[in-house]
Amino acid sequence: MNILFAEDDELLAQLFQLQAESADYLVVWAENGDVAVQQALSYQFDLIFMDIQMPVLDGVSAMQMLRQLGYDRPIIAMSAEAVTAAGFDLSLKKPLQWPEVKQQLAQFKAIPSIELELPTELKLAYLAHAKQLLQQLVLLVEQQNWVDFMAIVHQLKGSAASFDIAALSQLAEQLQTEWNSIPTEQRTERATYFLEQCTACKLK
Amino acid sequence: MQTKVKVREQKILLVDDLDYNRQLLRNNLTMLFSREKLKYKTFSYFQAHNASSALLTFSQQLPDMVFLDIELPDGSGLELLKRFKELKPHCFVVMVSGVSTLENVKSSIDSGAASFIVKPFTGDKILSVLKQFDRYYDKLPKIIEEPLIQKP
Repeated sequence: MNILFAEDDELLAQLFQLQAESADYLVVWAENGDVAVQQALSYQFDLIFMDIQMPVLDGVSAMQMLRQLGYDRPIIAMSAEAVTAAGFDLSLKKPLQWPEVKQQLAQFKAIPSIELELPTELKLAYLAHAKQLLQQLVLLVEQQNWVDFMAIVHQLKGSAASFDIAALSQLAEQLQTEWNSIPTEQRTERATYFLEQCTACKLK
Repeated sequence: MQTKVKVREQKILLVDDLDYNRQLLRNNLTMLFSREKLKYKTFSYFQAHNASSALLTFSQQLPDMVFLDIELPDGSGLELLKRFKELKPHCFVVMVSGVSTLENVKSSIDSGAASFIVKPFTGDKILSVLKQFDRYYDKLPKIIEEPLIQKP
């Protein structure tokens, strides 16, 4: 079972991770409510633990945003105070006591994940499209046209993983995250490295 | 003997600048409608590759459900969402984006989006939205639905 653990205290998160993983749960840590919302909308988690007091976005607001967007998976509140907000499936008192948490966790079940149906011809058509995009990127690097270059990188990030080339999406995401902090004179080098990495992905 | 009420097919509008994304979404919607226990599963599909054609198709068809990409070549899906909700306040709009910034999510909720999918697509994300649509559609006041029932 996959758990998202939203908690701004890193040590508490590490402790929970150790305890939960010893009982075969998989835990991903989110350091605030904003990260928790973003992660939750990826629908890879069977259950969310949500601390109430967190920076950027508090746990109640994060839960409410998710519920407003129809998020229907269990969310467990964690707080030293009583939690009155509607929308949580359960509220646990902090500090968490692992034996109690473990017992409570038993009532939640892993949600079977559904494979995306990807017809071969559609995958092949997308692959051809992705190869064309990479060729365009080579030209754009030569022209140092970074606006169009990053627009294509953004498109690759959003679409490649849906078509079973997650590696390409990840490379694009990494570049996108780094891009604004790369000095102008180093952009060509970084972009060329990105294209080399993409070529190494061997689009088949 | 059972009385059958013929309800007109519901309409889905898919808005994404990338043809492959729309095809993938349509394939998977069809697959989920046929495989999963969903109440509403007869849909006709409409597609748009940019904001202007999406607005045109929307005003002509007034779809029941929309998958709306935020990053469109000629405009923002967030602006489009506002227009859609003006034209048809009860339309179920699912925002789709490669980036789920807090700002995007908040302004989607404020403008009346029903749901938000962060790309890449997965079966779980799409199914979750369809289940939500079932619940949402059941709750809609019946008076709104009456003119939509097709008389034989």
